[in-house]
Amino acid sequence: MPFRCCRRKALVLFFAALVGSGCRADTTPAKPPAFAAPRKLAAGLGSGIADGVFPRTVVHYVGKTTIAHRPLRVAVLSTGQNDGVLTLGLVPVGTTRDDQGNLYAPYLLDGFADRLTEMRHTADLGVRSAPDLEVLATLRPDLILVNKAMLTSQMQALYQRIAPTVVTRGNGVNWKIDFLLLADALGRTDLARAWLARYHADAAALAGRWPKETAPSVSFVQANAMRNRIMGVRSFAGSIAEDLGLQRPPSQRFAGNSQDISAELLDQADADWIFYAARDKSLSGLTGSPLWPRLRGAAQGHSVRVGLDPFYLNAGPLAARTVLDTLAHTTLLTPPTP
Amino acid sequence: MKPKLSHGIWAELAHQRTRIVLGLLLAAGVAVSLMGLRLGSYALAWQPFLATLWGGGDDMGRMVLLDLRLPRALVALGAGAALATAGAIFQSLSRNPLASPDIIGLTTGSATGALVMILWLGDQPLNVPLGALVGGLATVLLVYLFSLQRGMHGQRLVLIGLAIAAMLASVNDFLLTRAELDQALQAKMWLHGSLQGSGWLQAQRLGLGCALLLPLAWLLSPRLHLLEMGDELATSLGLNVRRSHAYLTLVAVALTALAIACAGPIGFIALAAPQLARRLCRAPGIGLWSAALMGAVLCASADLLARLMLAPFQIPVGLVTSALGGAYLVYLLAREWQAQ
Amino acid sequence: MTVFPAATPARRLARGVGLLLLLAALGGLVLASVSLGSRPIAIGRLWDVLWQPDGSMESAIVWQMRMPRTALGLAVGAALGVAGGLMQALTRNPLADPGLLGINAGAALAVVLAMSVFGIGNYLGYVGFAMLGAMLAAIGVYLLSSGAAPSAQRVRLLLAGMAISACLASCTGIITLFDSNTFDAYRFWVVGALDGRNAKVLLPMLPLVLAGIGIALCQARALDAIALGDEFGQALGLRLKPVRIWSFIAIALLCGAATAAAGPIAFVGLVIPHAVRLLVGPHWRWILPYGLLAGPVLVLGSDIVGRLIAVPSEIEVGIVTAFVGAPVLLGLVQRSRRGSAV
Repeated sequence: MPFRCCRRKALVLFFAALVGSGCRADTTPAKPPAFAAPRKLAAGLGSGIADGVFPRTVVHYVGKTTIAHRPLRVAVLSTGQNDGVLTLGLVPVGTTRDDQGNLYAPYLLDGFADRLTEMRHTADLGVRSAPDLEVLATLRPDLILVNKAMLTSQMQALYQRIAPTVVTRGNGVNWKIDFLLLADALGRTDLARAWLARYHADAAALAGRWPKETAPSVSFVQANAMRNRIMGVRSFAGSIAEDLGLQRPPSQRFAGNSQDISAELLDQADADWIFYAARDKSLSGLTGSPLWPRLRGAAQGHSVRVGLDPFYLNAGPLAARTVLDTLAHTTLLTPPTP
Repeated sequence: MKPKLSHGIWAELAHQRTRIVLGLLLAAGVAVSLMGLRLGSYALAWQPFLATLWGGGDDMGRMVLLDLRLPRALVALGAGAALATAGAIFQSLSRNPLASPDIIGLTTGSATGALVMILWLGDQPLNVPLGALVGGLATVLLVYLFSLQRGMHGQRLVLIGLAIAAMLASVNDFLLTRAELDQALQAKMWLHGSLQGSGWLQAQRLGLGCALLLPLAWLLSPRLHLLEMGDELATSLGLNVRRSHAYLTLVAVALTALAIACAGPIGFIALAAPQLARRLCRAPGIGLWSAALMGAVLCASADLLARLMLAPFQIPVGLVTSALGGAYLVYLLAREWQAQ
Repeated sequence: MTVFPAATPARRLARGVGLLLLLAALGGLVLASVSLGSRPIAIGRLWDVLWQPDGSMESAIVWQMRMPRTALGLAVGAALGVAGGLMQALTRNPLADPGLLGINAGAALAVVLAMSVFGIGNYLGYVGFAMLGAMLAAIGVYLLSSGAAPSAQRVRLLLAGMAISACLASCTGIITLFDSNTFDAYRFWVVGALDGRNAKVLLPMLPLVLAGIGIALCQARALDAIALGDEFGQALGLRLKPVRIWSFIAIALLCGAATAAAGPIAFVGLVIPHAVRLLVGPHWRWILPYGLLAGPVLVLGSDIVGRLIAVPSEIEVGIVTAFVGAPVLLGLVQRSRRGSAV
């Protein structure tokens, strides 16, 4: 049959392509910058205009947007930016639901309790991957904030028709520059810079408590019933640990954001201090694992269960403060191991 | 001696009940579309609605009506018509009421192609439709090659298609586990077939494709009717069976690929619409006009439900059609077997 | 009693050699499964730990992770290997997979409901729900197909399975769409994996698997009799309905238990009967018992490969079996095209 050899070759190529695509999705280019979390917006981004001056043209990650007047009604489509908006004094008029199905993560409701009534009036825009455009249009926002990752150019054009849209980078490690960018869009850059300066000063003061070589090592791990995931140096929590001068175990010094580990390799989540959270309230794969008691962090009682949202899911200012405080208070209770 | 094919195109309309059903379906289609234009999370009263249609109205209302709802309604109608016509052709060619692009692996293949694109190159306007097209066509080629010897008749096609669809479904599951959660969520949304965010770009592509392919299908429908009588009879009447098969298959595959590229793999319309239309018309054979209109009405209704049912949660229209279609299939099977 | 001629000496030799090969492969794979994994353990250390379990990490890994995992792989492989053969015998369709009866879809929906609505996070919870879901789906499919005339029933069974799978899959899709957390866990469950479980999952499953295998082996001769057509069976004095019902029950038990414990592992049920047939010939009374041995070979082999090729993570066993099974399936389709009855 003349087709047979072509058929087999075609099949082999087909499967090779599929496997290749699956594998390729995993590779990340390893180019370590000076800090894990960049502290300054790249040249050209933002508007370069002083606070309070409108109209302004903000250059963001997918082009540029002109904002005519000072935004007061902000719609947030990528839930991580809620934190930044609230920190800068505004309450979003509409937001999408996060992974847990909440409009606002519990730590935000606790942290901004004085604005609870306003937050309860925030409109529901549906799921993150498919926001309801008509509800968005009904809200008539002044500004729409969305992350680059979930955005298609088609949707961006539609958002732009509804209100000026600023696209932030997303991906936990970019929390400082995303905060600065959205502050720029809101015309409140001074507030954001002051906040970050305070944060860096506090972190540096705490970091001065021990010389770099003797600082304890910290491990960040998320669990769900199926697998465990350790966070690397270039992750949200990792960047805060770096600001605090804390060390990371060798197994967590990889280039990417995070890494899944198998059950047998649970010791890759080991360190002087282990900070863990469960995605679906189930810790059977982590603390219930037979290897857990053999981790030195767990054996010494230095394992701390933390909130999932501030540590692993939201990358914003209040979350950063929460992580900073948790890390500092727990690790500083005992002197660093020599 | 070639059979007279020219007047065969209108043969379907010769049947009186079919004409009535077509009229009703047309009316239903218009009604559902108007409802879709009027209703939605953005409240639009009758006054502003009519004003906007006539060119007035405020900016936001115009945007919602003309840039969100109108193209989406058109895409729903077009995708439904395209899928239903393709389904009718497949069912007629394989003489199997359960043949459809879903079953021959075309839908799953398109999904695989699109997933590969989403993971590789990100969700740009051209990439996903291209991936879907290539994936779908490659799969159909595969299935066709495997059933080459015995042709596409009978249950052979269904079995091979099911097997290949199962295989590709595994591949899709694999690709979903290798993606980040956000990417996987987006891919999953597409996989179900969603009209969310459909704009004039999709409407134009679909419109152009349908304008080319649907008349082509109707021109070929006399061949279809002849083939339904059996290969031997058709050949004795002078029809070139192999060539007709090829043309019709190509048109059906192109229609399906077009619909999937513009709207994602919306399931069950290709399967259910021709059968429903046939039941209503009680005509002998499968009618392409009635199937197309039925498909358009089904898709538009399903999209309306998907958009409004749980607002602001946007359900992908494919989930609604799958749920309803699965239930329909169950009902169909149950009824037919009680009758036997 | 059989209408088939006695086996040729060549065939008997093939069966004998095949049995030895399978047993050897199985033994080798069990050893490999205990010795190999994402954490490399030296042979000397492994030997020590096997004979004297101390409290070390390697000991915990070998005794509390790899041993139960191997046992689970054996049970799941055996269940799927036999269920696959039964399914193909029952429907007389060489491309039938036990999952086509809606069992996988039923288990999936039940697991998603457990994760999302009931907030259950541990495996034992999933197992109970999945088993229930699988059984209900299987009963639904059977009821839907039982009205048909016997001659049409085998195709109707598949179609009913398809219809019910579609309905259930839609419900699963809707829930996972709104609950991203559940989707995140579900997308890893649905490919079929043996990791993360412990012996607690195996114990409830074992009686069901054993019962299913027992029933299946009892039906094997009857299935041989009807393999050429229902009329042959009836001519031999066989009553078709009990054979069908018992086979169906066995498939539901075996496939349901396997899916509940490990998620829907693709292609094992499909491929094993064909592979075994090459050794032992076309009779079900040989294919089913040999499938019992060959199934674990495939599952354990795939599991070991999955542990080793993606360190520090693992590739789920269901994905590896799909990559192995898919080309085999297509090859089978090509071969079956030439002459065998479909």
